[in-house]
Amino acid sequence: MAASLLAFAPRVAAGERGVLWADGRGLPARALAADLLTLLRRRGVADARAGVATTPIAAELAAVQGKEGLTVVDDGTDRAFVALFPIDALDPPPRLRPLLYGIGVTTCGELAALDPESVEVRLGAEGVSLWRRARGDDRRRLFAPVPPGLPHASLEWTEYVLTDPTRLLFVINALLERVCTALVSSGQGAREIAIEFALDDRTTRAQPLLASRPTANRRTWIRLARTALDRITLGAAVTGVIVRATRVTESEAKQGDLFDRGLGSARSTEDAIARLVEDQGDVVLAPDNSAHPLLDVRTTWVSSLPASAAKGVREPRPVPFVATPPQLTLQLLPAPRAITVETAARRDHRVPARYRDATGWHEVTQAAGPDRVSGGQWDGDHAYAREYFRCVTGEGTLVWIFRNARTDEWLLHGWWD
Amino acid sequence: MAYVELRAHTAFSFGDGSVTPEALIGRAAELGYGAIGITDTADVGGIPRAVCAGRDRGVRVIAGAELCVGGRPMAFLARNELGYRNLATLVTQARVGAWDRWDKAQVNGRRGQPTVTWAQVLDANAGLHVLTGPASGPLAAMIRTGDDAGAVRWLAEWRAVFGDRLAVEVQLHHVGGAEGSLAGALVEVATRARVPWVVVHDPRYVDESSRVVHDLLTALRHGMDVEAAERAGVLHPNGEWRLLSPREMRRRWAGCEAGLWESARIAECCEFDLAWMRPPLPTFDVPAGRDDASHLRAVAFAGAYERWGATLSDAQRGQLEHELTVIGQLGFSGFFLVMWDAVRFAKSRNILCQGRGSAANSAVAYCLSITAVDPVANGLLFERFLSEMRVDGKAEAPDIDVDFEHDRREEVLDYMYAKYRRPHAAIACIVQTYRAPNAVLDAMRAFGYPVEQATCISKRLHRYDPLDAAVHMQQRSAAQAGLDVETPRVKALLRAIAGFEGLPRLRATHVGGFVLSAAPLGAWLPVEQTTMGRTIVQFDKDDLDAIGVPKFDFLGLGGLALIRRAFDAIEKRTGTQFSMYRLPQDDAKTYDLISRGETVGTFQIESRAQISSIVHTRPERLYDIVVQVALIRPGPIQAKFVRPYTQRRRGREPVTYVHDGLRPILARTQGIPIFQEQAMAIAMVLGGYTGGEADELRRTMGNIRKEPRLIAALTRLREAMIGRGIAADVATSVCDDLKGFANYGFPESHAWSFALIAYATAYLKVHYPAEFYLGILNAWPMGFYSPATLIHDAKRHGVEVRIPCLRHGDWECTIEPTADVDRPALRVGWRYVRGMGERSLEKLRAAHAARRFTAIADVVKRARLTRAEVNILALAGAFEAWEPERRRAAWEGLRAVSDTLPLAPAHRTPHHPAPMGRAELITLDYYATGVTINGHPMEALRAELRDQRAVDSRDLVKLPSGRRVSVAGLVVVRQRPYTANGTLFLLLEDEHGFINVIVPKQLVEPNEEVVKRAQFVLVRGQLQKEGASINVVGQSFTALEAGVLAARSHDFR
Repeated sequence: MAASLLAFAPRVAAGERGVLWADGRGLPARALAADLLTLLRRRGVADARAGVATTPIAAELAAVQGKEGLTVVDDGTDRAFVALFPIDALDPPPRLRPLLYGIGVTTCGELAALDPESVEVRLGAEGVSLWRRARGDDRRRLFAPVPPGLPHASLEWTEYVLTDPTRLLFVINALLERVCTALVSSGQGAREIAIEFALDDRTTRAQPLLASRPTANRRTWIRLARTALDRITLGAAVTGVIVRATRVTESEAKQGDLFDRGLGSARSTEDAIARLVEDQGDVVLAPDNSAHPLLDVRTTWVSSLPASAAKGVREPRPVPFVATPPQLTLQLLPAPRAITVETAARRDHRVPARYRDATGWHEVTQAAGPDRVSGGQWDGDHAYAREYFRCVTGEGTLVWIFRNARTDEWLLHGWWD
Repeated sequence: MAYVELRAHTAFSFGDGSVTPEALIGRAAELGYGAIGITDTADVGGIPRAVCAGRDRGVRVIAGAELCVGGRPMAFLARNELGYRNLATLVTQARVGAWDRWDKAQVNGRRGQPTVTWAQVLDANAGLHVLTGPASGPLAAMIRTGDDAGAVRWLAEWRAVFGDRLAVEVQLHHVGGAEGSLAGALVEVATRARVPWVVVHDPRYVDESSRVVHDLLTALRHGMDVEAAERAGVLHPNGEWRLLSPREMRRRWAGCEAGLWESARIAECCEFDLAWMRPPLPTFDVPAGRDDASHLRAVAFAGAYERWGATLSDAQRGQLEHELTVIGQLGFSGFFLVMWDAVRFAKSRNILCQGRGSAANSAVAYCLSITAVDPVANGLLFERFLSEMRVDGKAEAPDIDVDFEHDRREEVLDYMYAKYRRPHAAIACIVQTYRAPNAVLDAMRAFGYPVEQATCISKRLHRYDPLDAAVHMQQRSAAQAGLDVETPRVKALLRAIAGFEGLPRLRATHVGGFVLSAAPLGAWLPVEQTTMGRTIVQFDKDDLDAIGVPKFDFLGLGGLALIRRAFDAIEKRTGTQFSMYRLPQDDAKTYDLISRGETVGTFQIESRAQISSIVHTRPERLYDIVVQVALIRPGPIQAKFVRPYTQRRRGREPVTYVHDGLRPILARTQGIPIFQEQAMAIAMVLGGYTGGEADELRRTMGNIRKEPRLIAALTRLREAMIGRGIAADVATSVCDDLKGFANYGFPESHAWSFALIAYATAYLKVHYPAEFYLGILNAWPMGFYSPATLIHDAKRHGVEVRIPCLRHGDWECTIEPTADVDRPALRVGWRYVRGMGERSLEKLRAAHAARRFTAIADVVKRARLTRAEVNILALAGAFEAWEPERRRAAWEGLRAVSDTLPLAPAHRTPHHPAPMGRAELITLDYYATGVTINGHPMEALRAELRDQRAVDSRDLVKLPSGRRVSVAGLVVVRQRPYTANGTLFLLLEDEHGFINVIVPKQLVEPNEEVVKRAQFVLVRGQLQKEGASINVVGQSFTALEAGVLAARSHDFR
């Protein structure tokens, strides 16, 4: 909607309570407002109203409280216009409302008629601010300075055409360098960059590149461009390229949920870190550990900038050497894997005697457990009840097996190495 | 040998147990336990309930508690009476610390940290069996940190004190390898230290649904929602903390049975008897040469001569002698002297007080000035008060309730604490169980729902129990609040809410039950402290009854505060001193006022139901009021006695008796049994019961929940009557009547006590209306009606009411002279100005006490008021004496707030706001003070209502019964008594009076938003008139828009 309005007014701003502001200074304001109303009605906003005035408060009251359609406040009559409205139209602070009621001020005109010293003494600074608006003296700045355009870079050549992806990539790389430099200098990262190809048959082809998170890292974008070029076929040779950042955000955007499943396996951890380093540059990730009964949902990862992360790091204190026995590391499967288990009775429970996975049957020579976890009964799908066993197999592997007590299925959840 | 669970927790661990003692015992019996130990956290409040439940289910209870020693939990079990005494002492010490260092001001610091020291345990070790605690206990903590040697040393220290009364506690909940390792290490350390080890399971609940409730309570205890609590690891990781059967425990510990055997061995060593909880009665400081009994005799006869004159009749002397003999035989002489002393103290401080309840059946209580009704003159039955029947081998404690002016009761409590010393005195507690609103609020909070959503649901469920609330939510209110009952989370929520059924939620202070002891009370009944600095025992009234502990009930009564204030005001204005018991009891004007139903504000006979009845019964003498007080109660209403009584009293139907023997008993109540004493007398006269047996029957009738017992008791009575030659149909008829009003019958003596106060308030309302309303407004909150309604009533009764004034008035309402000396005006006090902070009110009072206010600026400056406070005082008209126009007063007051520079004062610019209209003034009065003298808010609606052919309360009197009418008014009372089978009663107030509206049951739910919540209501329905009683039976209901008033109706209380 704002984009459409900008076709009529040089500056548009969205205010509170459904108010849209259009800057009509130096323009035929009445005609501008009428055009805007027509546009809005065409877009299905049947009850849109507009107000035109020299001061924001008068224009706002004219639009919000005025008659249907367009209300124009003549030059020099703003104060008189505002004076007719009840004081609540100015939306006074909650603290002032009972005081205004107490002294019998019910309209803007009544407040405006008071002398400023009386208002200041009785109603304080907030009262004076309200008094000014009641007099049509509105000092609000409605329109922020025009933001600079999004970074872009382009190159055209007329002497020759390019069909070689390597050379095309070289050009794109140079253009990306300029765009990324501009992004870095403005403290932004791009979520999306579009590459527009001008083709020899006088057509254009746009190829959006989407990063998993906002970044100004050229290497990330060139990797994405390279992947894209591998996948697309252009209809004709290329005569020009425009690289344009189309969606940008502030660079301190939050870390995503790449590690939701925790460090599922060494391979997935390495992959994730590689991508992270490539995408994010110098970002510190820290595990946020909880004491959740389910091991696989205990850890989430949070990112922070190196500078802020460094604040929490203390100089390591020298630790006296203590010989600790070597410890095994639990390797979790990305998702528990269904297995078939044969069990044997032991006291008040049954323990795995052997199990079969994709590789065949495995004898269990020793089983410790059960370690029971259950909870989440309040959340249907997330309710869990598991009975874990630490089992030593005939091959000497220490595996982690559990029985889902809700479904009576057995699953392999990981192993130690 | 069977396993015995020694470490069960109940909901009396408050937040760490989700099963009632009764449910625990029930489950234990089902699982085959013959005994069970209860070790709630620093609490033994669940023990009496468990013992009583255990008697019925054949489960023996071992009394214990979990206590932190030096900050780590251990369990202590009582092996014998001395052991229980020490257990109670330790629980008390954990809760209140050392009495010699106890300080009322330091109470808050100790709450939530019940702990004892090693030295305290050392002092109180005899008769106790100690278990070393769970994984967080001191021994396990040492082992977990690898300090095995320290653990052995620690065990040796404890063994040196406790010998074979010590066991290492071992638990296994299958939570992981570490737990198993710890269990193994504990067994090993115990073996090395030659201390037995014992298996316990430490259950907190009994099944899966109570586990969810435990999870919610745990989350709430940690201030988290349940998901956060799960992530933080504060919930149990699995559901193993439920009560397992001995068989399951044997399977779990197969191969390690020694720990199981030890549990059974310990259980064998532990005994418990409720009688051990009975503290010795307080001794009274009697003059030399006298004991309690002889001193009581002396003061009782001295009082008798004062009450009855120098010569006592045979009946009077005989009654006194009989009562003194019974009291002496039962050992309650000291008890009476304590009560006498408390009343004597109150009277010395000019605090109005009066005994109520069955104590008014006692001539001794009457002669000691504890009660005000002459039981000899009125033929009241002493056995209703005190009988020789014994409960559990002990005489049942007398029940003396004394009412004091409600705002001065604290003085009496402080006196009792001071006289008997704090360690010897404590107040009974109230165990508040979960009701629907707090179950919904707590469960939804723990599930992470927004508070607004929870409140929206809970306020619709205030009459429900959690179980019914879950059903209601399933069917209606959950969807209304935007919850989808088909989602698993909402289903779980509903299950959780139902799971709160019957669970204790918190412990609060009883309204007046004091327990006193000759020895430090905490050794019998553990004591804890409240946030207000009081000390309470961990038992409520029913627990104390079950144990057989007498309590001294010091209750607060607004009616007495009203009378005292009115008497003082009358004396100040006229110089006449009044006494409640010297008012003429035959005042025609008073009975006329009562008969007209003009009883708003009077004691006990002011409710909508009472007024509806009283205009039919038309009391003409004090005994009519006595009956009236007892008549409009659930018992007579359910037994359908009200109409026959009314018809007979008015002579419209003959008084008949099914048996001649009933004539002397029932003659004064027109042949209808209304009082408990009458039920007892019937049993004695027709059934040949002794006084004690008759009282036993009365007590059985008092517990409708044990209906089989009641039926059995009445069957016995019927047989006894037949055995004495009474015809079977007559005996059946008599028993049917008695069953009809079982549970809710009122003692006649109690009705007498209340009738005296009711009459006194009515007398004041007739003869000294200004002082009457002053009394009630200054004693408010009390009674049925809001101050606004009372003010309207005052004006209707010709009292000139004046608004709060900072020049002429005071903090409380005051009496001001008018041109008519006999009709003073009532000035509303500043306390009714809303929106003033406590501190500002104090400053206002202090400044006024120092010097009278002379101007608006003087008030503002000396009381250092804020802008908001000045504004609210101005809007309330409190500056009227200096500036009659409220807005100009606000203008001036606000200037004074900021104009603090004497060298540069602000200009006094004039301000002329538009004057206020009458309707605006009324709304403003409600906003600023909650009361108005400028009219009624209904006036603004009247023109529009006339267009809709609505009539007002005045018109109703003239219209014939059966006419279809429309009426409207401000809802001042909503009632839905359970005797009315779902019918809702509204009391509307308009500018001329009141209108009774009946909302039939089937129309309540469809019109719920209007009839239960709207402030102004338009009702269309049928006029129903019967004598002076006028009702409108509603058929359609519409909420009226008349602005929102800052006044609340008396809803469902």
